[in-house]
Amino acid sequence: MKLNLYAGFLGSGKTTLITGVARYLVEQKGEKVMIIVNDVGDIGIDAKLMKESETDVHELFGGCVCGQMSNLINLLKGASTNYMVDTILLEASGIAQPSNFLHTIELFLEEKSTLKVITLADATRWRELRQVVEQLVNDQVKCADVVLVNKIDKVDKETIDYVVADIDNLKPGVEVVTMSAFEDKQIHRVAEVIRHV
Amino acid sequence: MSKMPNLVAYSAQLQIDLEKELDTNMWQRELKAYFDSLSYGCEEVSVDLIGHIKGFLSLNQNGYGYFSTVGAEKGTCVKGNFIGKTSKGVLDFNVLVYGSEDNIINKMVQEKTDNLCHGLGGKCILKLPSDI
Repeated sequence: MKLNLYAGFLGSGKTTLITGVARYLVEQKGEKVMIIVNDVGDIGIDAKLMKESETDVHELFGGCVCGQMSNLINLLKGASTNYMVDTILLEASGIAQPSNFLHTIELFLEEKSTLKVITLADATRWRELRQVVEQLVNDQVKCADVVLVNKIDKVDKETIDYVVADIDNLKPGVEVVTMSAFEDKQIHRVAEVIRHV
Repeated sequence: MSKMPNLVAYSAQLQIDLEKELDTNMWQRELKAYFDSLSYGCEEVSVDLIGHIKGFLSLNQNGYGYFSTVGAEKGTCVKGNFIGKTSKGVLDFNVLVYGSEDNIINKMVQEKTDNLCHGLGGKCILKLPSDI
């Protein structure tokens, strides 16, 4: 079983990307996919949208997965034994610092399972986020196996180059992919990158 | 490393019951303008950062809409499926901002919601999670 954890600040495009990746894995690769969503507010919004695409969606409430660890572990166990899921797409909330809970997830993963962390960076406001919520976005990048610089259709090349260089500076050598999650072709390309990281 | 400002996580449900049926494309336009007004409202009350303002509008058999914005100048992104006309809709939404207070955001949302409902014509009930 593959567990792909999607991290990234609020509004970076995680829900749009996960919905697209799930559809790609189901329709193009014939995989059985489960989505687990951890929303910040007391009313879940992301799961409502995902359910419209008729995917198997589970919600964890509370701002951080770290506060829902026993529920998450139960879901992970059930996914492999009861539902025979190939891939789990876990959307961490936008305020979650992956370093707070990654180790616990690793402890409970089965031997043959793989864990990848995919972090989205919002190119349209990367500089602002690095100033206001620096600790949070730094942690999200430092825990990543691959960083997706999203919304590149809304910024100029100079900004894209700056964000890519800044991420490489934060975590030297990490794979960085630029994209726009609103385009299906790009989602398919990114889904393939993630499969092979 | 600078200290992070506090997060205000406002959630609510807006139940809308219009006097007349409205084309769902108009619902989309009115709700998009509402989300734009919420992001402007956040800037008017000087939040440090808009985390995410997002909502899901359920129009039952007439479709649904997802609204999302991270800043007034960036506009509101809309996706969904809008079919025919209806007089009833339910909007679940979150306003997640850094560097403000609960009562300030509550008041701002109430004002913007009053404006929306006045423009739409009909009955609107704004419910907090504890009342749903």
